[in-house]
Amino acid sequence: MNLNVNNTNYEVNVPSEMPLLWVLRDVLGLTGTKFGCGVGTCGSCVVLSGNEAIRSCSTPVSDCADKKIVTIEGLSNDMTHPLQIAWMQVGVPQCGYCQSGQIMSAAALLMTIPKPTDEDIDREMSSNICRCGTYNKIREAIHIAAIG
Amino acid sequence: MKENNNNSTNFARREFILGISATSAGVLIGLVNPFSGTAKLFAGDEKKFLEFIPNIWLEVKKDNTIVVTCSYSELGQGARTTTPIIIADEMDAEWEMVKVVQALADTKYDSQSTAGSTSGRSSLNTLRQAGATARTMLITAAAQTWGIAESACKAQLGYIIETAGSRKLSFGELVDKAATLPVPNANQVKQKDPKDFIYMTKGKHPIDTADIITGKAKYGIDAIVPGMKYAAVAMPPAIGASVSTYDDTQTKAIPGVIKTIKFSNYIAVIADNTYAAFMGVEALKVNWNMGSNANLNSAQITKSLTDKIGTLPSLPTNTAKTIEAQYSVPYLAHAPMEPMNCTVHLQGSKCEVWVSTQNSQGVQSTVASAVGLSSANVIVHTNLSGGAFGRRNGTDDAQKAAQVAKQAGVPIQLVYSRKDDIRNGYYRPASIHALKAGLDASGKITGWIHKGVFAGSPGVSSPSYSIPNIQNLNDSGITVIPTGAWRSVSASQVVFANESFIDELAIAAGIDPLDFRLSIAGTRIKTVLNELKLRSDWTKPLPKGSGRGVAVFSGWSGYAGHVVEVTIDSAGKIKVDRVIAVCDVGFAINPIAIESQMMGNVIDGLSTALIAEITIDKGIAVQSGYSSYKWLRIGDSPKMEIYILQSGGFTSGVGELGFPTVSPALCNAIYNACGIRVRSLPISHTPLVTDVEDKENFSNELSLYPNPFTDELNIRIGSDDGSPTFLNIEIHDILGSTVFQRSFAGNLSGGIIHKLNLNELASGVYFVNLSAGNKIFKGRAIKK
Ligand code: FES
Ligand code: FES
Repeated sequence: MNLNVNNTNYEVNVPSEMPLLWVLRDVLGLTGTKFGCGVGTCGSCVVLSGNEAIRSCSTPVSDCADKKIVTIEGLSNDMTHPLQIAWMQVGVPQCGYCQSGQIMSAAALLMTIPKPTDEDIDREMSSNICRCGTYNKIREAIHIAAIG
Repeated sequence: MKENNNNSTNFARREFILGISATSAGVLIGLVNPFSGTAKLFAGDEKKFLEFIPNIWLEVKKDNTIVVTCSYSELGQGARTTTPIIIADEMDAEWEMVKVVQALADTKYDSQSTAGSTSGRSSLNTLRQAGATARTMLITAAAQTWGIAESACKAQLGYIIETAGSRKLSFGELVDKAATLPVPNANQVKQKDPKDFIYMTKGKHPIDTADIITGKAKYGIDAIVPGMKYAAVAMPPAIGASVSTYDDTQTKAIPGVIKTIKFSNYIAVIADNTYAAFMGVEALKVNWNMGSNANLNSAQITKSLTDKIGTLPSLPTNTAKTIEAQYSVPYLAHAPMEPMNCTVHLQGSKCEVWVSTQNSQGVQSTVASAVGLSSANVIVHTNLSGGAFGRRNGTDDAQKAAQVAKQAGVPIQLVYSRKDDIRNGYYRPASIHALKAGLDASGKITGWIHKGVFAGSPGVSSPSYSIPNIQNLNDSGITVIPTGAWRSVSASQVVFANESFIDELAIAAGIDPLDFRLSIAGTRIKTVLNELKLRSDWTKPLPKGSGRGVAVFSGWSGYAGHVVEVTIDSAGKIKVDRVIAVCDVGFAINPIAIESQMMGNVIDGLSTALIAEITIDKGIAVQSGYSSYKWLRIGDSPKMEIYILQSGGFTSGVGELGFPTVSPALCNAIYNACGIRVRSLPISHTPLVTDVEDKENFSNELSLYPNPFTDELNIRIGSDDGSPTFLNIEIHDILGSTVFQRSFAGNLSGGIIHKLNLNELASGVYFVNLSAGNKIFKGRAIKK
């Protein structure tokens, strides 16, 4: 099947039920998208499908055939996405492992709510765990990105 | 700003540098002969040095970059940022000149174990000396070039300048000269006056941030080796179980599965990708020898702890009032965000390993013995760790990956599922604490007895105050469930008990809990308490339903404390409104990283106090993922204020210092808010409202039974309204998060029973809301 990831077309030969996460990581070598739980409970694996944040661990690759998938590697070419700029400014990460999922979830949030309140952020980002506890810096960075 | 050291070209160069330092066995600084070292780096006919390598920690290159080696693991605590900060500061380099490379596992770095909050502390002097040595040599090189005294030169932002003149040379320009100089003795090297630090005192954001936010950062699980296959494992269904026989027919039918390999206590499935490997494990049919723990459960473990409490000794005779209380805490899993994993490439007499670990030298020896090589032939690349919290002291993932790679004959990346991770960890032991103390007629403490019984190594320690007649008594109950160090080790249990009990004593003495602590605290704890008092507006009254609690502690050579503010609503739901954290770290190396660690400690402290626990049934953890082993989410993260004090004279660890006082401060706040003393964690088990007559939250018409329930909860509405309507059931946890929701058509006439299967929910207190049109019925049920 054909898969469009970060504006590149890939021809992948995998079982249709294989989750997108493992196609990205193990087949395409795009390791920026992370495995945290594999069952939709942590948000480490979030990518964009069009304007929507999806959990790639729980999305069969066949569902993505006619979609435009964007991963952390494709969020911008040169670190100029407002979220990336804000993340640099605040220095959000600790271990960093959850952060690509956080940023991709935040990217979807800003597409639907360009100026989110704390409550919007808390609601829309509630499925992303950060085991290191960077939540308050995530909130701060999203607000900065929304203004910028 | 950084360079990964994962490719073989780099490895060749590193190997060369290792070669040099072999001559300086065990001594880290000043013994590497830069001449013999750099002589091999002549570039062709130019006969010029390419770099200047004064010691194993740094290399100055002609292009003016400084490559700093980080010997500790990066777990999120900031080792890879703090190491170059210290060196750049002592060298007076421009920050942008610095790159960091990760050291391979090697005993020349002494211990690389990144545990016990030691990485910042134990390396500080070594790294300062390394940077100062390089600066001294660059100054000598410039002085000799100009034919002036060294005292007439100084380092400034990547240059050596002539103090009274206008001449300057960049570090890069001085490489040729500096590389020919003898390394000065330690006493000829002067470290900077701390008041002149430019980077350490301000700190820097994590050096890997740019890589993290572009997806380039490489964690253990991101290693890719040509020809690599993926492995997942079938783990024992009870601690201590072993494989008897198994059938892999269905496993082998899964596309992508290559083969299965049996080991004594697990079966590996090897596949073309991780997904096929996981599916292959699911499809295995295994007969296990269940071993001796197959019937073990939490009730038995708790009983083994309680049985050992016994009778506590007597208090001194001047005791006017005796106070006693018993506290308990559960097992905790580490559950780092990145599941345990390891990649092993065995190539004949050499073996290469990529891993996220706190213990790279431990991985090296574990893999060496698993594949039958000497440690010297095992090259361990320490990739970034997606969290660790103590879990990555264990090398079980590396051992399995090495065993599998040896049998499989191909490079192997072995990954645990989240369930494997949570069920096969080294838990923070559950423990029970019996405390007894006396007050004399004036309200002063006469004696303090603390007996702790642990489902693992015991570790009762004294509260951080001057108290007379302290007796700490230790024992262990059933210890067959594997346990290990968890953020702050035994302080995580002991400080909860000590600082809750101090609060109980203050209340028994009729004294404000913060003032009571001030009356028995030493100077540095007093400073922390006074700062907390000031920053929290301690004396300012809070609205009804809200409360404040305080706790303080000293450990890892530092001092810390928290004030937590909570609000308990009329149903008993809890909201943490604000957390004030104060730590005195002596001298702060990178305050930005300290702040992050303190924030992480607050989230860990609140999560473990409120909702997280591991319980055991049939010899294994009941919990298997983040929905049953719960952690705070962003919406639960309170306002935080972090104050870092620097009283000087010491440098404390911070990764663990800020954890232990969060849970007692929270429970003390709950007591202050609603008068309920929570002595057993997690708090989610304790109803925080006793007034069930309150019709607002406990509707007469709604009955929930059995209550407490195990898996199924019945709902009955005692109303006589038979008109058809839509019913909506929502169940909330103590933080107010919706954990269950269902809508269906029905009516409210009496006697209707809805049976809900809630076996997925963690045990604890839940709030049931049943709404139909504009009618709302509310109740509370407790899951056992
Ligand atoms: S890995 Fe997909 S939600 Fe956790
Ligand atoms: S930064 Fe470590 S899990 Fe979020």
